[in-house]
Amino acid sequence: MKLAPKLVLTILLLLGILLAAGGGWLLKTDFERNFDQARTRNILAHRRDTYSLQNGLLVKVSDGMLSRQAVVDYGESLGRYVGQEEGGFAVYQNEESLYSSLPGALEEQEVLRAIEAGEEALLLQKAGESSYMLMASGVQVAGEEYWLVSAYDVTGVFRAREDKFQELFRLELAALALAGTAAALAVNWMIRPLKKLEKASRAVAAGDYTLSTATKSRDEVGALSRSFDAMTATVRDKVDQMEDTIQRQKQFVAAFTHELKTPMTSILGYSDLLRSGEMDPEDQRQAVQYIHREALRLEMLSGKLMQLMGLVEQEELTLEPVRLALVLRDTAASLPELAPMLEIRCDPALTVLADRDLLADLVRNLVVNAARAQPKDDRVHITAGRTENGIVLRVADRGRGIPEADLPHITEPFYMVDKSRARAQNGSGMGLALCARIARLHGSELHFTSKLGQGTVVELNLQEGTV
Amino acid sequence: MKQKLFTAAAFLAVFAFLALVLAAPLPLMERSDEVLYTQVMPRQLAADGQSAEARSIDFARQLYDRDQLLGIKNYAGSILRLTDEETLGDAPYRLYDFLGQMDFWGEEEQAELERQIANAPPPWRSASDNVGFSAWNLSTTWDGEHWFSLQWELSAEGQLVRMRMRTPLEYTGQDLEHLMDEYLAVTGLDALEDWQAREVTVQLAVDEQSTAVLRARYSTGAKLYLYANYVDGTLVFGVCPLEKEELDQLDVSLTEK
Repeated sequence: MKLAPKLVLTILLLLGILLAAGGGWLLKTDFERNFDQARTRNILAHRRDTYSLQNGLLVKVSDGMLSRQAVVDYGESLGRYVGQEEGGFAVYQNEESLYSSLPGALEEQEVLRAIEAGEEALLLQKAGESSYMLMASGVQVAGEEYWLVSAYDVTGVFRAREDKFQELFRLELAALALAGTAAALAVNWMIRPLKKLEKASRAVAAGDYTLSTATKSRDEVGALSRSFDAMTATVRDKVDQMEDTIQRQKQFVAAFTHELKTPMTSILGYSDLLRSGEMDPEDQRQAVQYIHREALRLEMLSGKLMQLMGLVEQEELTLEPVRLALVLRDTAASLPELAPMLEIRCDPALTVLADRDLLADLVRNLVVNAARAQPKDDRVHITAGRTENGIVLRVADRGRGIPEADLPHITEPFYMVDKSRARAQNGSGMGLALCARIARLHGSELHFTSKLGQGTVVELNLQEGTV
Repeated sequence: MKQKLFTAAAFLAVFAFLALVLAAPLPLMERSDEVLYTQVMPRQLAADGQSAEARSIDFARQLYDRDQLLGIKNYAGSILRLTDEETLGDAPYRLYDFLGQMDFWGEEEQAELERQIANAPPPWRSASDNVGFSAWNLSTTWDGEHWFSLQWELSAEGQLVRMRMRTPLEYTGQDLEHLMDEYLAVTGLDALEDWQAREVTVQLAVDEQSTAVLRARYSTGAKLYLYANYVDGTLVFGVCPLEKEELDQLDVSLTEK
């Protein structure tokens, strides 16, 4: 069963039980109050009638004697005075009725039972469709004992209770119908966010992470909906990231395969020629040279790849204060063929927090790339200075520049702006990827600014350290 | 489909249960009625406002019960209902019997009373029968403007409840105290030990030139008010039931009333 009918049924059940209990209590207390009022009223009336009979008969006593006819006559006159609409009374002597205006439906044995019960008793008797309160009191006149038995019709008290019950029953049914309708509407309104949530959950299960419940209510269901929306947003981001990673991995594998295949094709081609044995010594020497060069490229590629993989695995570095001028000097020393092109401007006192070897690798790669850009002035400018963000290391050239569309991708592994020229220049497409990773491990990013035909500037922010 | 059927069945079950619960008072009422019809319920005999001592005196109890049950307060001068002439019968003799028992009632008073009763013209006689009590009203003397009346009320057992009479005799406060003592002795109300004298104020309706002697006593236990007044030749005395609260509000003389 769904939640809405469950809630509606629960509400109806509780309300029904409450109404029944409340109605029952109301009926009971109302009936008891009415019954007590009728009893009090009738007891008073009976006392009045007893008093009247007693004193009325006293007047009729002549010579100390009371005739039987006088009793009957006074009963009749008292009957006229009291009225017979709501019962009646009877005068008894020695269990014999002298006068009676009691309802015919009341049997005599019931009247005698009232006399037997005594002056402090009250009986309730059903006669036909009516109910009567019976009371009897003794009257002593002129040495004779008489009994006055009064019957008071209390059918109205019982009928009023039945009428009230029927009225209550109808009211309770109407209240339940109204409450049921209201509860159904309210419950449907309240669980609307849950329905949305269910729909969104199904969509998520089907792979659609874009659906949002967008619930505005501030209750628990609203909080749950918002949590669900936050969860789907996070999952959506993670999935996007995963898809992106998978895509990049695919691209990486494709690029790697391509980069592997190119030298392998050259090696296989030249080795086939060598195997055929139909080459002159000069061609053979050149083929071997090609094979050697391509093998070196493969070795370099695998070395860089291993380095990148190692850096990717590495979560963080232990950074130490390093004099930047020394790092730049080491770089220049490790690139003797490019040394004449380098123009270094760096305060010897500048100290940065860095891994010295990796920072040197980074600068070396940037310098090699700048040199490959064929700067018009045959210069690679390396400058370092202090800014409010720390130490900025800048490598600039006035070479051919990088197209704007390529700028976002140049730090991806195996990405080459001009593949043929890069390969001709012994490039692997791994250099800037390594640089970007090293920069990230130093808590920084590489910033490229480039204009075609005018040159490229690469900036790196480093934390200042103290020796 | 299965779920919908289950839901429908659950609704039907709940409605059936609710119908049973709402109708539950019916059998409970029947059960309660059965007990009511078979049991003997207790009945309080009387709402005893009077003390046990007062209830033991028939006359005191009779007066109080009449007041409580029939709602009749027989102050002097209350309106009387006309009944048959024949009810007069031996009424004067019953009055004479009662008054004759009082040491206060002398020959002069008796002669004046008999004269007034004998001279009362028949068309101006009236009587009323108030269950257990009978009252008489006789117009006796014409003073040129209106009739003076002789009124009295007796219980069925011959006790005088009240009396109003025009008399040529004069009474002092001491006389009235004596009258009240005698009245209490004859009616048996002197058995009550809590009679206390009450101050009665002369009201505006009584002229400054009038002779007005007013005396009253009250019994808290019996809740009875005893009064004896003499104003300008009219003697009024008797007893009537009065609640304590009513007594506190009563600051008018019964003569004036």
